[in-house]
Amino acid sequence: MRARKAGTARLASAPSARSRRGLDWFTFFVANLQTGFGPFLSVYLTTQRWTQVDIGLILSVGSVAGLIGQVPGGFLVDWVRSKRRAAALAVVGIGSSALLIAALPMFAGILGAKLLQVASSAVLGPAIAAITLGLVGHRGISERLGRNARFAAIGNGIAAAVMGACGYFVSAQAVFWVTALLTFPTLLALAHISEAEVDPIRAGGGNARGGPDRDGSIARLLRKPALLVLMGSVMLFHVANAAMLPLVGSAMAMRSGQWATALVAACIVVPQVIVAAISPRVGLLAQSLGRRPVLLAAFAALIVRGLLLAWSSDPAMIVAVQMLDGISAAAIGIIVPLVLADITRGTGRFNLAQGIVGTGAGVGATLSTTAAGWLADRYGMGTAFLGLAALAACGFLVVLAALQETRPK
Amino acid sequence: MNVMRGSLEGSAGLCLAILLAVLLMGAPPVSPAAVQSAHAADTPAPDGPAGAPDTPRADTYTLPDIPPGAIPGPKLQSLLGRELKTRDEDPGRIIDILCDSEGRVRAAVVELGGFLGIGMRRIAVHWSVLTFDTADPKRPRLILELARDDLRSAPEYKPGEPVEVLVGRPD
Repeated sequence: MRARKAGTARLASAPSARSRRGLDWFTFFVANLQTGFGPFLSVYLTTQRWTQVDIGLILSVGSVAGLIGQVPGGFLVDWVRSKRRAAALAVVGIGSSALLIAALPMFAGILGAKLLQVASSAVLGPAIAAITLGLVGHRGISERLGRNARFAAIGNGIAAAVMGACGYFVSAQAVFWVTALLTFPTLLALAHISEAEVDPIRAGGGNARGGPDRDGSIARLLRKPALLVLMGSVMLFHVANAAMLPLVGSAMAMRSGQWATALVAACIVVPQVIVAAISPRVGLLAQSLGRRPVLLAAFAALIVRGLLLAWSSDPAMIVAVQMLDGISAAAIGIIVPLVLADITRGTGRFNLAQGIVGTGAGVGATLSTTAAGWLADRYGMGTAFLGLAALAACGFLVVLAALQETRPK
Repeated sequence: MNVMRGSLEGSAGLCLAILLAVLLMGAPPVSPAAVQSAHAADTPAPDGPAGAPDTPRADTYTLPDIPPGAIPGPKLQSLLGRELKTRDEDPGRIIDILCDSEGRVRAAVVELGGFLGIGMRRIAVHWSVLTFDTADPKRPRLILELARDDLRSAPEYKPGEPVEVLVGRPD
């Protein structure tokens, strides 16, 4: 009884500095791990003499599996007791996938590796948020999500620069060897997070007193209006957002000869610098102003960005406009898990809800590239940016009209 | 060895016999000279090996002077995924080869630029603007003889749509 009391006391207090630093570095390295698996994979497969048909097939299978995997991934993270172990397995899965991709670039090998990476990511995404919530609880989550976003952005920025340079100057394959090696520091960082400090009930959004299943039926979760509104607006955000960077990239490639590659790199890295700079402040604002204004700001920045990109074709201007990407990325990255933590409080379904909203985000991103590609082909790039801005405006209106403030009093 | 030669001669003789039969029976307006020459070609065949291999056979196809089933290898090279440099030394890569309806190679699809897979351009270029530089046989270079500005303004290649092939500028 005394031991239990001591345990509760420790959980109630702030987590140890060692665990907090572990989480900092864990989010940093996880961002590093994922860099090579994006559009870069198709560059690598081209260097391995793959045909475009096979590359397209792998990417399609990957994105479909990515959509299907989100909900089971979130469900699994709620279900397992040790969120840390789930995260560790997912990290090993991503590392093995990178190893397989570097060592065995044959169809079956790459297909297996892509599926392994997608499945691991479906667990890893919710697991980080779960560990965070388990460590700091609902009271500290807002601030801590801001800090997570900062370290993830630093990781993203450094990884993009280093791996991009690695792919350019060494070889495309080297990027995946580096990714595989990064598994070790990632696991080391995770090991610094104390298992005892990650409360499994709190990590699932459960109330430590009420237990996980007090309000935990999935049907009841799905009937929560706030969850559906959030999912819809997140989907609209990604429909408007996902194709913007690729469109910016091709605009750069067409307009700015010699410096095209460096400018595209700047368009990728600049938003990460902004996210790293403002995220902690955004976390605090979400607590003081509320979730809704910050989410509206994310959409507003996206609308302005689309309009400016449609209007301007000057490369320096485009790089500057990419700073707005940093604002909306920071806001959406912090507010989405935060609102989910608010609305699943006491249900023990925090991570399942993340999977549901993640599926919406994935569907949105897939629609985005198709829609924007079609618009750009048919009516030109300016119209495509305007169309994306209009979709962002729809998202803004959805949040304005339908999303209630979820910040606890 | 002898057996083989014998059978070869036999088949050559058979061919000639058939040719002769066709000439004699199937084609009425045959000049006596043509018949004569066919006879002359026919006569040495049953006796000895001398004439048979040299006999012209108009109705059969003979391979050029290479061993069957093998095309001289070391000079050929793979192109898919092959790195190239533009005239301005920008890096790129061949990702596909395009041919016309008769199977003649017409263009290559090249992928240029980009960072981490973002901001790449795919352009179809005419076969004639690719130069294979073999000055250093250990590191053969592939050069795309087009200037940066031409490539920049070139239309993007899209599979399944009419292809616009970029050709060189006369200079």
